[in-house]
Amino acid sequence: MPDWNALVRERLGARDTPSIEETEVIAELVGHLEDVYEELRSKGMCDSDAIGQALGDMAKWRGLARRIRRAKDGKETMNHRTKTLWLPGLIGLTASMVWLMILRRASLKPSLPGPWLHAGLAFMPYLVWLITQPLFGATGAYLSRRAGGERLTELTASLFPSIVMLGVWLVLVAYIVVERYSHVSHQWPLVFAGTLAWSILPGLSLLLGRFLYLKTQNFAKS
Amino acid sequence: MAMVKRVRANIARGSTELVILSLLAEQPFYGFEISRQIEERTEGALRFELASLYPMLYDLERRGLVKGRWQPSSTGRDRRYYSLTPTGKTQLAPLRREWRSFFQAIDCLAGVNDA
Repeated sequence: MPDWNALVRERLGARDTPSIEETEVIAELVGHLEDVYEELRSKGMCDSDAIGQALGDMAKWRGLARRIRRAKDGKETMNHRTKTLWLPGLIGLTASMVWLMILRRASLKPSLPGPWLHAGLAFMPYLVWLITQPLFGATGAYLSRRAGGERLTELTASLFPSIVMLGVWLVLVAYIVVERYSHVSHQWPLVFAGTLAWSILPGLSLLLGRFLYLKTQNFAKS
Repeated sequence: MAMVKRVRANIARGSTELVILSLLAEQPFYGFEISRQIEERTEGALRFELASLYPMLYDLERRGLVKGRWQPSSTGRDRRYYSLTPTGKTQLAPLRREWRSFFQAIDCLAGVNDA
């Protein structure tokens, strides 16, 4: 028989030293899984299938700890969407922007020479920033998943910084079109290059971070 | 759309509450037994899995409608048996009336009994 206690604790994300109440919940869920497992085994199902079926898919475990806490406390300090999308997304966006500011300030020091690109875009800070984006993508995915976010929410949370940047660029494009700035009309390639540099490439980089995070999670579980 | 979702969620929640309280009005059961009893009695039409059952039980317990107590089961292992509290018993009758009225209203409109 598998170590149901460890499996439940892992899936609920229980702390190393759970409270008495948490211990009781874990014990109760363990008992339930034991009963399901034994019932399936008595029906002739093989061990691994019975374990798999008793545990069910990961989706039903995601958010269970939160639902139990809410049921026990009767209240939540933040709603589900805030915890799984807005908070992880905004943390990722803020951290990413602060990191960019730090890099740009550091690169402005005379002691740190570096190649420069057009439109005030410092190449080295940008490149370092872009390379480090997977970290923020992984952070967004981790925070969202930990709060019980579904797959799509978790993806949106990890891509949040680039989604916001895309929004900013789209507003800029709309502004240029509406105001009919003729003097920038010949600079459309630069606008599109900006969208690529500040939204699409970081988005891909954030996605890479999310992918690596999920890979690490799956590897740790197996 | 959000309104429809909320109505659906309220119906699902309310019906789950009624089913569990009605079952516990007969005798105390523990979680696994509750899910099996419901599945067997409804011939599989209703199924409660771990993820939906326990948050509901804890919610009912917090509201004082049921009370959980650890005691040995028929297998000798300790299980948490839930029983209806006096408050739960008081709440069950109006809940049943409410649902009866609801089904009658739906039947008047949709004729579900003739289907």
